[in-house]
Amino acid sequence: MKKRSFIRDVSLAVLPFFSIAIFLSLWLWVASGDNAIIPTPVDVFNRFILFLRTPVSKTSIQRHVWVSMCRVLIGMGSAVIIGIALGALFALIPTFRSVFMPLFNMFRPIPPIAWIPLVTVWFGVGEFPKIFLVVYGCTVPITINTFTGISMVPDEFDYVSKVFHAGKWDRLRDVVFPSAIPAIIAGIKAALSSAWMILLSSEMISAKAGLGFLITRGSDSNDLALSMIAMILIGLIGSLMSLGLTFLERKLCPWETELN
Amino acid sequence: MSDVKSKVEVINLCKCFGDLVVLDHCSFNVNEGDFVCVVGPTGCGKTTFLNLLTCLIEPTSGQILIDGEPANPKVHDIAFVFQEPSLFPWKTVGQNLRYGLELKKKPEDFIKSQVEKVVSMMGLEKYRDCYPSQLSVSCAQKTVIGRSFAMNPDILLMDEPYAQLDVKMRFYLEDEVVRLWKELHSTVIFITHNIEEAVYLANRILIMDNKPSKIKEEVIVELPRPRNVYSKEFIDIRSYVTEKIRWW
Amino acid sequence: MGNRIKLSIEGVSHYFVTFNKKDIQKTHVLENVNIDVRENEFLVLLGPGHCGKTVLLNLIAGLIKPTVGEIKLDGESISGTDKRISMVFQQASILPWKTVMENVEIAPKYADIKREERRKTAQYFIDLVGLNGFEKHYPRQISGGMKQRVGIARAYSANPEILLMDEPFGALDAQTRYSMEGEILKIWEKDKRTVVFVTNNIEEAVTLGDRIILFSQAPATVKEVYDLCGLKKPRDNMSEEFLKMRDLISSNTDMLRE
Repeated sequence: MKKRSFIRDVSLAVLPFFSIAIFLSLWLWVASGDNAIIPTPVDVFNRFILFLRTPVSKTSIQRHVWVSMCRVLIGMGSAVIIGIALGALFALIPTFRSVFMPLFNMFRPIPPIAWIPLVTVWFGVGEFPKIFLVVYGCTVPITINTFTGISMVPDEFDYVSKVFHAGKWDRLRDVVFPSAIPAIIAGIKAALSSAWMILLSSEMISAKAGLGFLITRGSDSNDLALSMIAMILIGLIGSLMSLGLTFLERKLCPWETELN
Repeated sequence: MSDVKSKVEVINLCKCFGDLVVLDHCSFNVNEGDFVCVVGPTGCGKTTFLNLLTCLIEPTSGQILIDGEPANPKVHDIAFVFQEPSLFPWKTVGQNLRYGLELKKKPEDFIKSQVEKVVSMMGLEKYRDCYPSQLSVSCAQKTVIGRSFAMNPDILLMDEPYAQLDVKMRFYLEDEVVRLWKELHSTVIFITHNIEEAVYLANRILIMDNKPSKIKEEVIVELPRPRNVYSKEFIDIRSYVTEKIRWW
Repeated sequence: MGNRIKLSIEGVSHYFVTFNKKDIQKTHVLENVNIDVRENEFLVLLGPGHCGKTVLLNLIAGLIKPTVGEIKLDGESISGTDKRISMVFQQASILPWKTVMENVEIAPKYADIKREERRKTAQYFIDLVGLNGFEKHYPRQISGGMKQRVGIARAYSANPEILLMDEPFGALDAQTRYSMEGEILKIWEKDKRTVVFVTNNIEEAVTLGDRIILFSQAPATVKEVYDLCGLKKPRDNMSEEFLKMRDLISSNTDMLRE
């Protein structure tokens, strides 16, 4: 009996490597051959080494990564502040909600990417329009989640605050905001994946540096390996940021993770 | 009394989850036709013990024998009654009652006669074609018990089936279970927290300890049935077991 | 018992109104409830699940207003929550982001009582419920029974004249339940206040109550009032009087789960 489960455990641990190995072999096979269009894994690796030494478009690989990350971080940071403030105002001040909610709902369904042409005409091709788009796209989910989180305080905590006579600010500080934190963080997580999509789209269209720029550059100059490097880097950074958020969540909300 | 056959033999049963020793050398026998109640504190391993009996998990050491052979759900008929009513909501009462027997691929005639027997014994004639959602709680629980007894299992395991019910219902269903047990000569292992219930139902009470659990003591209950919960002898046994337990 | 009447529930009926697409649905929850709660008695409200007992408790707490009838505290009508009335909730409902101490001192804190004084009060009740040493723990670090004890300490810290308890032991396992019943009686003996305790467990009611008010199924009316002052506490749940009372009540109940 024990032997069987040991073999099973070992297999389960080793199988993922098998599937990755099979994927890499397939890639190699598809990419090799005379009529190959895409680069092989080896090509990509070599291109990466080359990139470490030689800048593309007069910019080093580190700088490209840094530029994209800055745009995302500044954009997200601003969106978090604006989104939470807006969501809180919507939830707590009925007049504000009646006046501005319809306007918000008008803009909500329009995807940020649709704004690219308009924004480019207005603000040009610098840093600001790109960050603006990220802010616009990320504010929406954060606002909605903050609004929901604050409006939907669980009944049981609502009763507690009433029975023990919490004042208005006491209630906000002790009951409303803490119970809204998980929802707000969920909004931020959703915003994070939007952020990268928005940034890449705008970088691919009009930028002088950045990971999105590299993708377009690579395809324009028949240097697909470069595009693939950019893709891989985006994947890695995205995962790291997501992990960071999860870590932050656990720190801010230790009680939620325990309940889970 | 000639030597009564051992239906279930538990020999030095141990179960560990990593470093946590849950069951520590438990040994006891259950004879054919016994009604055994197992009482013990929450978390002492009663559920683990049941899972071992039904072979859902493997013991760390020790054995469980049914009719002299290692317990095997494919060979032995082990029926289970849970705390929550576990009827299939998409089957009628009649279909639910048949279920266990159908699983074991018993012949159709046998299934029909068993189901008939149980339906008449439990007074479920009117409800045969009703769905569980249309039944009252007592009828639903009766159907669950009936389903298990209909299988004529080697052992019937009941895991605190009446814990959530009120006094009136509990007494009623306890009487039903005793009636079925007597008429079908089943072997029952019944787990409960309620000492009164244990003394009412069992002819043997096994008292389990806290983790690592052993069988602390066995109390034989030889009161005539139906038992009178007011009688001095009943109260004496109940006090004795309660004293032994005192886990709160 | 010659105690004066602390709380009186007069002719209270209650409906919930829900608006459907076609019509208005009225759910009749309570019907003509008349109860006098005497000072410092341990009153038990007993009835089948979902019969409206919790609603009645919420009405007394001032969380909702009765559709018909009045509730008077010390002769005056109640409107909204009152500092003289405190509550222990079914699911404990202690704030998960505050420590045990912070949870227990919540009422005096909102009453603007100075830190030192309110800590002393909170500590007294934390000790009383047997949670000494757990002051800095968070709810996720303590068991269900302990959470309920925090809820009880919190309710007491508000220094109420009336304590409402809404099936506080319903979610606990049997052995914790038995021990908590003993605890609550001990606390009540030490620090007597008026308690209104809701349960659907007959044995719990007979163990704890000075008087038991038996409710029918929804819409809940008062079926019967049982006076148990003759049975001395702590009660032996195997004694003849206990069993007789239990059987008497159970034969009169509309009990069924659900």
